[in-house]
Parts: sequence; structure tokens; C-alpha cells
Amino acid sequence: MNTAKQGFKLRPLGDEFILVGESIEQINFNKMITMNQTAAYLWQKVAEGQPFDADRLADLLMEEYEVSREQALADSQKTIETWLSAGIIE
Amino acid sequence: MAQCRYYRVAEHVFSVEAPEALFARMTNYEPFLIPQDEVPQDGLLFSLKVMQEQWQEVATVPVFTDTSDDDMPRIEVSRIADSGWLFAVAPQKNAAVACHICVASDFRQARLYMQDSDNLFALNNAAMLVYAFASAKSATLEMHAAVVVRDGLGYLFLGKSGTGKSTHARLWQQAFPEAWLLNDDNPIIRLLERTADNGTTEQYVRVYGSPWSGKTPCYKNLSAPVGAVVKLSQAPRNEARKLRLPEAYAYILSSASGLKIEPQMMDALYSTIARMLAVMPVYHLDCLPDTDAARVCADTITPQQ
Repeated sequence: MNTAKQGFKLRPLGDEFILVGESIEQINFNKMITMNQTAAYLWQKVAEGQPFDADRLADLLMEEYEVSREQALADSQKTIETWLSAGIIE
Repeated sequence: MAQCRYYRVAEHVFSVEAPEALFARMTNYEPFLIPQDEVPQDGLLFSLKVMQEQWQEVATVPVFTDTSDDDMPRIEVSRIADSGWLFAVAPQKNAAVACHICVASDFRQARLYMQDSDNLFALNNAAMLVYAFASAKSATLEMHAAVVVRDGLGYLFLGKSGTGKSTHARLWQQAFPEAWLLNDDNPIIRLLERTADNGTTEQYVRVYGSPWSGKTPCYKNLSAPVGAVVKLSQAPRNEARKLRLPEAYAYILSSASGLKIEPQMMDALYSTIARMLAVMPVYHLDCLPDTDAARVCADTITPQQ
């Protein structure tokens, strides 16, 4: 299971979103993550620190979007990999 | 004898109370001096008082130390109980603390305690710090940038210390005799409204000179609408490209002063920058230190008529 690290803020910018470390916890987080609408939707669902895995994200995707289970799972796994390498979840 | 003087910088008025001898050295503020009867009815952006007595330690909670850039002052930030913020400022990363600045929680009042009574470095840093904090909620950004004006439009050059902001500003003046330096280090930008040619109201960004200009004595009380902002990088070629919003946001935010760990101030900075980016193009320039860089840059960023 993964959890979102705390101290990030999701902000809309144009038709995208950015995730920025805006707190003491993330003062040394020198990066900014850009997210599309879908990734931002998923992040908002897990931002408070509820544990999640690819199955959980796939459920969330299927609640909101017309997408097959297979596709949702593949997208979720890719999202988790991206977030892990960006250092915003653990 | 302490005196109080009033200054208008980017249309915001603030006061400085200080010993007379210190004012004699504050020549960089003189273009911005206004008489007391021009102080606006709705009051001052902030008032800064230079204290005669020595700093006495008070109970504080350390928050963090800002040493983001080797050439920039080190600022130790703490909270004073519920009454405000304490900033201990040193000229460089490993230098001794030169002054303490106590700032009220609403950033409207500040007291400056200096180790040496005529320390202009301390006064400038205190004034810049409080100006940035107090003006943030008024769609105002205090930038770390050099800015030139050409054909009535201001162009801001951003980059970390040592990337050649001042050099590029000088190259513009060499390449274009009509271009002039508005400020070399700390201009102010504001999101404002104006009436467009078709009679509707539109937002735009205006850049102002300030009493703070780094090592270059360029303290012009002048302003211009912003033509573009350019982030500079040293490179073996000259090449400019327009930045996408996230990159543009990141560069403007990292070049803007502010207490970025304070959620309300961060909200204000975000709101200002996001709205500015809707009307202000931001570019990246890979550049050599030659006049061709200024031409390549200007060819790309000058708005088409």
C-alpha cells in the first residue's frame, strides 16, 4: 500500500494542475509536479493520507470515467510509479 | 533625533522612522520620498522603525533558515509567541547576524535592531523584506530580476545569482541604443487594470523601479507595462523559447520574495502569479554573453504590433 506524503498543495494553473511543496515539511522539496485533470482527481482522493494501491485508484477512476477495468488498472500502476519517482508518495 | 519619512514605491506608501544620520546615507530612497501630506487616506503599506536600543533576546520558536542562494543573505526565521515574526539577517551564508527585524503578524509594523547604528545593508534588507510581505496581498511581487525598458515596455530577466541578469541587461543597452536600465536587481511588478482601445477593462502587469538595485546604483522612480519575462541560462548558443504555464509559474515564484511557508501569503503569491501569467508571456533564453543574445532574445519576445 502507498500513502501520500503531507505538506503538498494542489493548485489549478490554466487547464492543468501543479503540486507544490508549500510547507515546512516540504521546504526542501525543490520540484513541482504537473498533473492533468485525471491525476489531480486521484491525488485529491488520496491526499489526506488514506492508504491506497493500484486497485483502489482503478476503482476511483471507474467511478468518475468511462474506462475498462484493465485500462484503469494500467493507468493506476503508471500513476503510482510516477508519484513514487517524484517523491510525493511513499 | 529620530525622524519619520515617507516613500512611495510602485504606488505603495511606507514610512521609515530612523536617526537623522541614517537618512543622510539613504540616497537610494530619495527619488521615492514624498511629503507627509501626500500619504494616502487609507494609510501606509507598513511602517518601519529603526530602534536606538540594542536587540534583547526574546522567546521564539525557530521556523527555518533561508540559505537558498550562496550569494544571498542568510535569513533565520522564527515566530515570536502570537505577536509576529522575527528575522535575523546575515550578509552571507556564514556571516554573523547583522540585524534583527521584528514584524507584526499582519506585516504592517516592523522594528529593526541593528548591530551597527548606520548599517544601510540592514535597513535595505528590512525594508525589502517587509515591503514584499506587506504588499503580497495587493497583487504585488518584489522580484529578483534585472529590467530594461525598450519602446515603452519593460523586460524582466530572471536567473539565480551569477547567471548574467545584469550582463544581459547591459547587452540590450549595447544592442539597442534606445533601451535603458530601470532596475538591476529588485524591481516591483503589479497586476493592474487599464482601459483597452475598445473601451473594455483589461488586466496588465506593470514593472516599477525601487530603492533596491543590488550592486548597481539604479534607483529610478519610473515604471512601464511589462512586455515579457525571460528566464536566463548560460549556454553555448543563443536560443529563446516560450515557456508553458507550469515552468513559467515555477520561475516567477522562485524569483519573487515572500514568506512562502505562510499559507495565506503563499495563496496570495499563487493568485497573483496565476493571474499575471494570463496576460504576461514568459520565455526561456539559452544565451552567451554577447550582443547577439540580446538580438535573438528581442526578436522572440518583443510583442508584434
